[in-house]
Amino acid sequence: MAVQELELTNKKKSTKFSTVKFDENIKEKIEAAPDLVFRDGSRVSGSEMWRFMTTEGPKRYPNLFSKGKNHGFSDDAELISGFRRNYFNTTMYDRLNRFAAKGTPVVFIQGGQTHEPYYAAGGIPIRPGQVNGWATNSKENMDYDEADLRRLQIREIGRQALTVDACQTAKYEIIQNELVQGISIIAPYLCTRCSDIGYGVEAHRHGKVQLPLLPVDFPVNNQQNKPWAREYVAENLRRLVRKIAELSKVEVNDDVLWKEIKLHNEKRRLAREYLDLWWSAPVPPTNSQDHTAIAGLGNESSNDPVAAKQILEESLKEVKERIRNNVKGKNLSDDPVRLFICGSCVNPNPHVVDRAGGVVVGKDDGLSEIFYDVEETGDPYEQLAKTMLSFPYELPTEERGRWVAEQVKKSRADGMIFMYQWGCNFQSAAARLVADVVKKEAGVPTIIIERAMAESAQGQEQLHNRVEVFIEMLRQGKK
Amino acid sequence: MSKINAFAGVDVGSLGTKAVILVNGEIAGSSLIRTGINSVENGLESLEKALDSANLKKEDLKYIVGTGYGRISAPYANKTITEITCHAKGAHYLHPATRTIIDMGGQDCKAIRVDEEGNVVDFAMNDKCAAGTGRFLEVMANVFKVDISELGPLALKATQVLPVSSTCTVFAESETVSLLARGEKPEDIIIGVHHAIANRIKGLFSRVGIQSDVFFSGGVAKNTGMRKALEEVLEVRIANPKNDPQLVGAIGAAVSAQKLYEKGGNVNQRSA
Repeated sequence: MAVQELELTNKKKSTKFSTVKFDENIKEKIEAAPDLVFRDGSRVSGSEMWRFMTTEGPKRYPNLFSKGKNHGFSDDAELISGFRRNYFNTTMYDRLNRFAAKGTPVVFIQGGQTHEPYYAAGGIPIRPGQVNGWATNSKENMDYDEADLRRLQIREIGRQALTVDACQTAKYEIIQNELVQGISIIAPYLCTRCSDIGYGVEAHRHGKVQLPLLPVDFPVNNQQNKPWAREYVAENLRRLVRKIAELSKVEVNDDVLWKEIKLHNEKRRLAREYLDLWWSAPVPPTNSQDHTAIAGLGNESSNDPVAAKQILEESLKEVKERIRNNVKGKNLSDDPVRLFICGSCVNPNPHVVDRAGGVVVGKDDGLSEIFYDVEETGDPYEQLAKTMLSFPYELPTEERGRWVAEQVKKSRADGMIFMYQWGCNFQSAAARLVADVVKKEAGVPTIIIERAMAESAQGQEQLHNRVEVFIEMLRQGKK
Repeated sequence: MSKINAFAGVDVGSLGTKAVILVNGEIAGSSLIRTGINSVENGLESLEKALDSANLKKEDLKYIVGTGYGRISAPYANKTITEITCHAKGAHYLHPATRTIIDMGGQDCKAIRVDEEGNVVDFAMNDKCAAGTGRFLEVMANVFKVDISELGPLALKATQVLPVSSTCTVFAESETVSLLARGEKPEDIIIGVHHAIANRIKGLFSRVGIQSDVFFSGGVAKNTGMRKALEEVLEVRIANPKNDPQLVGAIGAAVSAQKLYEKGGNVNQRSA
């Protein structure tokens, strides 16, 4: 099944949304900022970024530069690192195309885990969400509505090919339908976060496009302190690295892996330092959108950890300055209701949260990924295995719930939202237990919200309604 | 500015648009119209009608709150609030002893717990599926070729409750057609349909709990058969205030408008 091309005779570009226009007042600061340095040593100057974000980008990707009530870049134009992060994210597809053209293995992975083995082996890990973005934006010059429809069509391909409750499984069909070129291998961790990984992998085995398939097995149920489990995962990781290195033709030894581990440890530490600062700030220094995006740089998957680390450092510096000056994130209300979010793949819309008088303080999925460093002694594969097996999100659900309750308290959250995709068998089962533990141990109200996947990006009022009323309820409780 | 202490609440729901005018804390006017395709026009029309019934003009209003799913298109409102909060405020206004609300509207139903001040303390919603909503009853009325207002009285004439599935409107419609073909009495099937909806709502209360007094709001609350089925299934007595239950959200919006104005709400936000 092909994605229908949207070239209707009478179709005019939508004018219902405006295009982001960056304030000329920040131009000087953007141009004066240091070059963004990438993993391959290439650099992009502030002037080049400004030109892309104000000229080339809006022309090629009108959908990404579209601004509506519930979508678009953050309004916090004063956050210079935010502008640079948006540049980094928007140019991701160009980088992926370049990797693909050079024959660098782009590896289809799963979220929530460490990326070191993939990078060390000369690969570029890419999560389902990014695969979807890549496929959607492989067609340029789409307005917001066109891109929204294309996203829905891609999802529908997955549904028709696999199952009605396909979510990320649709991304396997992106490969089968050759909507992106350049993914070389499918190698996700089989951790306990997503009920569709196994299904998607299995479905891929019978497709017409046959890519190498290497799922990394992952023993569940609190095995992090058991030597057999660490050895087992470590062996899986060695196999993974060998396989990707065969494709990349990169020679990998322990030193290469240690170098990668050190880089990612630095990012994890920076992200934790950022979160600690943000959580302890008297007023939230960034809005929900910027906050979650900055924290997310701790385990980025925008295909360049070196540039991501630089932006994280810059964000940390800016946020420290804001906290010193008691600056509040743009569009936040006074004393916003603080929300902790649980679940994978879907989030409350940050624009809706902020407008309703709330702010997102953290996410268990993203926080889990950066919660522990990899110890920098001994065997790197075993240390990676130990850390991966310790990630709180992958622990038995009750333990995950207790860990979330601790983070809820630490982040001074007023309430917790557990959100999952309709059809996600794993997260839907975990939601009630996690919510109950959090309610009991952190003493805050919780809500479980199932997100219907049939919705277009613009048809989510019922979803927003639940988030909004939860914020109203917490606001009344705060008085 | 007008010296009249008037406030309005406009509730643009999926099937009905309601407006209520509050003057000096008392309901002075109201309106209820069928929701059409234009949310802004529906809200404005309902507001105009409510103003007419209160013999007031728009300029007399000090503050307007919009609610319901159509609130995202309510440029005439100074502020928008979710319908859950508005139903809580409206039920509290009409019956201050309310601690639990069953709200059944056109496209969803809600179980809402409130405190002694009418603040929401917990809630659960059933939507994305027409089963358990006003739309479900509309489909059933169509099957029995009666007006929706006749369903409740018919249900009260039943001699037994025939089981009907609560899973899905389409399945339930199919079951109903089969039961009719089998020669079952329409009244017994209709009470079965009402029990199916009540059972659906019972699931919501297993999540948020239930405490007296129980208040029934929304358009479906006009249905006497539904009220009886809920009382039987939930094993509670439902309070019986005199006002139109379909106006509760709009009443809560008007009450909130007054409170917000008294707290110094910004009246300049209104744009139409």
